[in-house]
Amino acid sequence: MAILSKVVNWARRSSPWVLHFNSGSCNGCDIEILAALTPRFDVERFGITLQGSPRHADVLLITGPVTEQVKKRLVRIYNQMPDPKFVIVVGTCGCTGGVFSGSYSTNNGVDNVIPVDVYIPGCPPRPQQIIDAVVKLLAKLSPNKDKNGGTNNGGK
Amino acid sequence: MVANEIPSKEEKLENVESLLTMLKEKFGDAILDSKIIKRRLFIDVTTESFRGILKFLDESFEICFLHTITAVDTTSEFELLYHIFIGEKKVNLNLRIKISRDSPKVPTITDIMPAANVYEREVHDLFGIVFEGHPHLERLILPEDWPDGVYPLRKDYKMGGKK
Amino acid sequence: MTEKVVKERYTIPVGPQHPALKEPIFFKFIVDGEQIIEAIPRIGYVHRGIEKLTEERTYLKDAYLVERVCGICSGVHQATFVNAVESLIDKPTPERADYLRVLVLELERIHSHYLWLGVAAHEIGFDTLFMYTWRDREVVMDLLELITGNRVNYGMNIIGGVRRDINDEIIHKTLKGIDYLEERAKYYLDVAADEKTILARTVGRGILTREQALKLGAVGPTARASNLAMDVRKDDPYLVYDEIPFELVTADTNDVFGRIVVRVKELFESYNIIRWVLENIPSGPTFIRTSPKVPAGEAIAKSEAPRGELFYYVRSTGTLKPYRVKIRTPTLANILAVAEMLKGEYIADIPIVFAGIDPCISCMDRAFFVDVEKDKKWVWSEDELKLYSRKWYKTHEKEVIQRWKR
Repeated sequence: MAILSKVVNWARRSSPWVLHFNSGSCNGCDIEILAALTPRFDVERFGITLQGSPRHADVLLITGPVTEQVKKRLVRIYNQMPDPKFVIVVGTCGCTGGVFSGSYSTNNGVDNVIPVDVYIPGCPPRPQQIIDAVVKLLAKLSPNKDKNGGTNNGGK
Repeated sequence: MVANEIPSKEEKLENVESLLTMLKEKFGDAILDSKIIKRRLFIDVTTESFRGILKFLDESFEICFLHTITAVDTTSEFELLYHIFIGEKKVNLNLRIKISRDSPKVPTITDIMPAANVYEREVHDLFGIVFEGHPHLERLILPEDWPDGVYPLRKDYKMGGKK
Repeated sequence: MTEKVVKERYTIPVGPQHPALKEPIFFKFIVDGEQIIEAIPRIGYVHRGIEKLTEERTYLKDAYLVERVCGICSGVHQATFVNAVESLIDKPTPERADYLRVLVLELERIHSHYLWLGVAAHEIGFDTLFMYTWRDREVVMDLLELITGNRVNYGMNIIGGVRRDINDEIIHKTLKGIDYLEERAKYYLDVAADEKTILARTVGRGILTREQALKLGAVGPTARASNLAMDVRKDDPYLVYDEIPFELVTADTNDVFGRIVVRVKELFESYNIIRWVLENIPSGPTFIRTSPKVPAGEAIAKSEAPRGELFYYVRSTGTLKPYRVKIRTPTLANILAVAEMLKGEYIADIPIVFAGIDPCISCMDRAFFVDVEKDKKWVWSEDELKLYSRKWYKTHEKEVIQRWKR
């Protein structure tokens, strides 16, 4: 079983399936995520592909401050993802609520709703920062290549 | 209407003033107050007359465009502003009515200007103003499980801040 | 005295009553088999309480808050808000600042239209075109970053002017970038006009007559593709638009194809506007100092955002914070129009018709369907709807081509 988990870990490290979810963001972060897919930044060379269904995703890439309307759905999607799963928050809104903190309609950040592994601050963060964070997460998954001391903080 | 012709500032002011004159002639006492700010016309009218005025404008001009409906809570009453653009004259007209805060009801204008459908729903969601005769005054933007009777844009609603 | 204009009476039908869904949904579709009888908008997904938040913050902080109403057209949100506040202050902003604002706004229009072209191409399954347009768009992003310091959410405006200036090097780079983009846009116009797949999916789809566009309050390229010549830059010029020579672009096909053509042609107008601005920009200061307390009063400001008319109303009571800020985005103005367009279309057409209005909402997320014939109800996510649409188009290819050729 140890060999199997090494293989699975390797596959996950080489080619994570990423689910992108917008929890009420202004779209700024979402278009930088999409830009990361395009030829200039080309995140696909890392084997990262965007998935449609939570049941096949390893990584949840989430933007936005989590509006009230979307909260239950986010929790449900998180629960549908198989273990092990990882959550990357893209953008300041997802980290702390950003400019919308204190609003009657938002939850001041994703970690008030589901657990988070990597935070990428920025309004929005550049595609390079997003790719950097995802790559750092991949490195975390690999037990031999521990580039950053295994801490939770994402790309700065 | 030739869209590429841009009237000069003087022509625009003339158009605004002539529209105001036309409305005053037709509706007289229903117009309580009027002012022209930067070539934009703001008129205060009675609640009984506003539908008639909008109907008259819609029938007199081909392009009588409703930008949106703004509600303002002045704490003593609610103000409703109907923002209109008259295409042929390139005039911005803002029609204001005042209604009571205790029982805020006003007739709909969706029969005259169907575009008002979403704007009235938005005001109803955030202020609790009832637009009588609206075809379906359902929730538009607040969450499905938002409590009834709580209107976040009223001045007596204070934001909690869930920090 | 103008004659009475006779207009068709127009009623908005109400769908059958159904119990409220606990899920946030974007549209309720009443269908009969594969055809849509009626579409009722619901929205609500992205509501963040911004109008209330503006009342708690100072005017300058609000200028940065309203940028984030929409990350794609953030510049025009900030510019319109600042415009409204500046008319309350009633001191003229320097000419150079207005020229710089137009420069950023037109660059934003270009980036937004390229973004939309890529997304629309993706909807039709044309991923290569998506990659091409977004690669070209990076040229615009570089220029925006050069001029404003950021790719998205530029923060270019302050109350009283702009925060940064340009120099000859920036002007030179911008003109070079525009030349390149113009070549690319010519290529896309050819592709759009000739490619059978695009034509079959968009010609005759999402019909909105001029009469309907007027009655339902449609704005932007959506309205202009129905031969409704309304553009705030011409109807109610702001900044320097009353001096800049450019054409108002319309189409008369009333369909999704028309909306593509209008947006691509607008790109050419934007390139010319930018060239004119850079040639004629006067020297001088880029901002004036203003007091943080804004005089009491009320003001409206309108702009032509890439998606259509953007409307702001600001009321001040003479303090540091606004009393009321009302924002009406162009997508809200187009909601009734898109509901009308979807009537009679197939379910498989929903993604492209909806994309045709260039909605400034992250996605349509969830749609609720009610089949009145079969007495079925179901909810689909955006992905499920897109998957259904792609499959349907594959299996009905012959029918689709016939429908287009008719």
